Amino acid sequence: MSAAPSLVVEDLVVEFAKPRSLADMVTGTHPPTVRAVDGVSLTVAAGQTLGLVGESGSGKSTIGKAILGLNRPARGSIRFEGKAFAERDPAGQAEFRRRVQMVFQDPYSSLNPRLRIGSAIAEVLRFHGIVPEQEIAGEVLRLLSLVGLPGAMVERRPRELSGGQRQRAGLARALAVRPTFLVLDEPVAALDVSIQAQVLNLLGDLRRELGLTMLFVAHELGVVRHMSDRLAVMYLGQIMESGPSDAVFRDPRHPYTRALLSAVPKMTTVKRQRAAVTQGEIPSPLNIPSGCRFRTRCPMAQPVCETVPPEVTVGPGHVARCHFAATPINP
Amino acid sequence: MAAVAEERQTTRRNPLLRELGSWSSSLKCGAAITLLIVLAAVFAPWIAPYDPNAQDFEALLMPPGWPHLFGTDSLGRDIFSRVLYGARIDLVIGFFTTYVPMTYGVVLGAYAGYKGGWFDAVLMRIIDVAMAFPFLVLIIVILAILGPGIQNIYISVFILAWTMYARLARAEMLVERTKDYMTAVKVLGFPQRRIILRHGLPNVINSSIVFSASDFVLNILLVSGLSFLGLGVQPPLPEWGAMIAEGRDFIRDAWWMATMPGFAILATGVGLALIGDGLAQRLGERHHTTV
Amino acid sequence: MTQPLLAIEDLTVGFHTPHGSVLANKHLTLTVAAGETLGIVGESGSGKSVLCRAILRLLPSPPAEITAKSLAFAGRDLLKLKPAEMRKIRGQDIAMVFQNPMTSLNPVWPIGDQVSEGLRIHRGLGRAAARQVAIDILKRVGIPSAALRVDDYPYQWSGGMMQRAVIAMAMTGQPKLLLADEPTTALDVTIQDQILSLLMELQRETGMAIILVSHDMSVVSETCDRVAVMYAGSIVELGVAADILSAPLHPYTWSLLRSIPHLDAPTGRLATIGGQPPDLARLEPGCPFAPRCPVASAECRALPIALKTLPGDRATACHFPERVAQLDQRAAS
Ligand SMILES: Nc1ncnc2c1ncn2[C@@H]1O[C@H](COP(=O)(O)OP(=O)(O)OP(=O)(O)O)[C@@H](O)[C@H]1O
Ligand SMILES: Nc1ncnc2c1ncn2[C@@H]1O[C@H](COP(=O)(O)OP(=O)(O)OP(=O)(O)O)[C@@H](O)[C@H]1O
Ligand code: SF4
Ligand code: SF4
Ligand SMILES: [Mg+2]
Ligand SMILES: [Mg+2]
Repeated sequence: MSAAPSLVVEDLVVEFAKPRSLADMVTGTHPPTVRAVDGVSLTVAAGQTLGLVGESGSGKSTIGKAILGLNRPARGSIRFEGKAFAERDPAGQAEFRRRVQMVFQDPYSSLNPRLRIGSAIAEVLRFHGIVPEQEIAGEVLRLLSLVGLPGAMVERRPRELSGGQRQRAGLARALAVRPTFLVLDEPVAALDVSIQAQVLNLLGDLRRELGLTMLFVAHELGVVRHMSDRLAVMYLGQIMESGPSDAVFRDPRHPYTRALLSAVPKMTTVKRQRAAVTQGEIPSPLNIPSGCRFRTRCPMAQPVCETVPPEVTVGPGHVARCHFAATPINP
Repeated sequence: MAAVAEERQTTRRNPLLRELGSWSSSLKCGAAITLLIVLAAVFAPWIAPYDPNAQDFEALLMPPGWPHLFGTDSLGRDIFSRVLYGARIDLVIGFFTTYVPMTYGVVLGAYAGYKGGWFDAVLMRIIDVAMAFPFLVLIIVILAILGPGIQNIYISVFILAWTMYARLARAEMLVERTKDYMTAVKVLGFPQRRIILRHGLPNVINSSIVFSASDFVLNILLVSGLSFLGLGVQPPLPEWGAMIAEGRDFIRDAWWMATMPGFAILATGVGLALIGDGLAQRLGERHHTTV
Repeated sequence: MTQPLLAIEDLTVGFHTPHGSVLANKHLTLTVAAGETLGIVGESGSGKSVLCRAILRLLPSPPAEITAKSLAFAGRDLLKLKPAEMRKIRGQDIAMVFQNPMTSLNPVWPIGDQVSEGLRIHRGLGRAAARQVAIDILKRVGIPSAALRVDDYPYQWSGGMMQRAVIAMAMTGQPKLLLADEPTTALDVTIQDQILSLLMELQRETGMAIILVSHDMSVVSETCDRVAVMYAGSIVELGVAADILSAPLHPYTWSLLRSIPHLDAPTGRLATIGGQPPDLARLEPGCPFAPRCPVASAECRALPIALKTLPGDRATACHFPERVAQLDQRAAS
């Protein structure tokens, strides 16, 4: 298991400042900054998949974008194969751009509305010289069929596709350059379960055959469990628990992880009458609770939780950030 | 089942016809009027019954009728022929004064919106200054320095008219650049120039295209106005504005001298305004229909 | 039985493209009663979103062409309404949560203004009052520090936050029918849980009917009374949610249910359906699932399909529903 790390993120902090309005300038106030990612460290070993789950708005997409150098971190370092993006020479940066790809969360805005699907993919192939000119058309069709799209889609523009079809077109475009590292931001959210299964199998094959390394962001825990070797659970910009995927699912030690697992909808025969599992107002990154961030919603919160909890190692490579993580609790 | 079969049938029609069929009535009317004027300009030598500059002292200030459809002017020239030839001059002037500045205006604006920073700041200040003064006043100032003449009108319009387009394109680019497809091509390692020109530009150009239809009319009016003031096209060229200027002195005795070219300007204006209107609807629709 | 709130009869939607007419909805017939949730599941690209948009008449035509025997909402045929009457129905009586939160918000407007716009139009509130109600609604759908963030622009919110804003906007008009197109796919499970509970609570309070499009079978089982399964523009199975999800009577539904990855029993490879979904511009006569159906036979390709009613208030478009049992046996062995 001690494969060389492909990606190492250390103590990453990403902040977004609201632009100062005229009123702010007159009154001399500074608008609040959103600390979307607050001290995240993670490692992805070559050929492995790290699943990233967590609260909506907790900074998952922001981490993904930071890895690709799309936003400027306030602090911390991101190294791909030992090198930060800024340390690379122009040729190295170009290579990085080919080898590290991202599938964006929103299938609606991630395709150029004016380009037909075929030309969007062909452009990428041509620009990076992936295949010789005369093979481009064939390669486009191959990529589309990999993601389960019929060849007729080549001629379509994004507005003529359904949500799931767009998401797969985005995936085909990212796969076109034959990347070695993929950031997948909710790559299957808009797909029906049979096509989802097809895409997940495809990603599994690529991982096995080409050693593709992945950061896999998703909300659906069944999918994440199926895909990932390791799992990181985020809440309000920080990782609450991380560890081997099996261990985290089998023996979750952080109350937030447990809340997530118990909120997973189940196959039932009766319509829901109950109230939501987790109550309490969700704090915002503008106004982070002191001490433990999950305190305002945690069913186990104690007075001690007003102090920052330590990172407790609860198993091999399995850590949780809670005062009571050391004791397993079977719900 | 019958309905389905019928549907299949209609889609086999010629794509051009289908495209035309989907135009709104204002777009169709505008296109028809404009096409008519363009055809008149192109075929002027064949349509025009007289040489536009041939003077006929036997037929001075003839009212509209036969054989002079629009009458004749104070030098006995056939106004119908002059209006036809005038279309050649005015459409060409309108075209260049609109689309040349639009080309670089949109590109500059798109760059500014995408890159931000000092480039954007400097460009916006220049635009603010240029737009703080009435357009016509600035043009006249420049013409006062360079001297009158159509060439100098071109130069002065090229110096000023891009600002509106730059502003429109920049505003749209500010929105477009936050969309993921612009990020996606960055992730794919495409150079910035390609991202802006090939991926950004086609998506920020709509409002400029719509605006250009009315700008076209305004520019014809501008040049006509300048010619009227004696700063633009010089007689005897049959430019519409210049013709109106000549007709001014005879407005009591020969109303047709000024009115006929005036109608030509009006018709062009209405045609282009309808096109602009139709395009605004159509492009807006295109842009916002996502299922 | 009382009159249903929504009764769709023989709805067909085609899109004109240079390569022929894409039939996104083919002869759909279904009803939704007040207070009921109808789930729509099915293949990606099978016409679920198009159906929702057709009900609200939001498809620009051309390229769309809508035909139906009737599209009756509360006794009025929506296809016969004047544009002004249709506008009154949208947002007031029928609201929609679009699949794509990012594009259903205007990028150049603060989110708070977009939420309060509906309040000002539909409830006639003043500017300040609408803003306050907007903040309350945003809080209710779980936006933290709503008062601080109402003036943000959409790009400053995460995908899930935007989705909640869109849900908030749909609720401002107090609709009788809510069309929810994958309302929770962009949300994490705890927020999804809250939104689903909220929707169910609102439904119990107001008796609103919901059409819920979702890919998550568990979500459907927890929230829906009845389910329609769509494939290639047609409804292939319709009935009580619990029945369909536990004992499907169409091979497509059966295959779909088998592809779900399970939380507690991770498997090596997921079951998929072989072959490609059909091109909606070139649909063959006969069963559209035939090229991929493991129990297809020659008759399937010849006979045109129609939803046939079976005992137990359910219907299937499969000519041979009894063959699903064979599939179960085959999978077991
Ligand atoms: N460009 C931006 N400007 C201001 N704030 C931003 C920006 N991008 C993200 N944020 C904020 O950063 C936080 C994290 O956003 P992010 O998109 O990373 O969340 P996420 O975990 O991906 O959520 P989701 O699951 O809903 O997609 C959110 O509070 C969001 O509002
Ligand atoms: N404007 C259009 N022109 C041509 N085809 C279109 C157009 N809009 C939609 N389609 C096609 O109609 C079909 C149905 O689309 P729809 O968006 O309803 O699918 P969906 O069931 O909602 O799928 P998903 O689950 O992926 O969102 C798709 O195959 C799509 O390609
Ligand atoms: S530290 Fe306290 S509040 Fe935080 S998760 Fe653990 S028990 Fe809950
Ligand atoms: S009709 Fe035939 S092909 Fe279609 S689903 Fe039934 S058994 Fe399969
Ligand atoms: Mg995200
Ligand atoms: Mg859809």
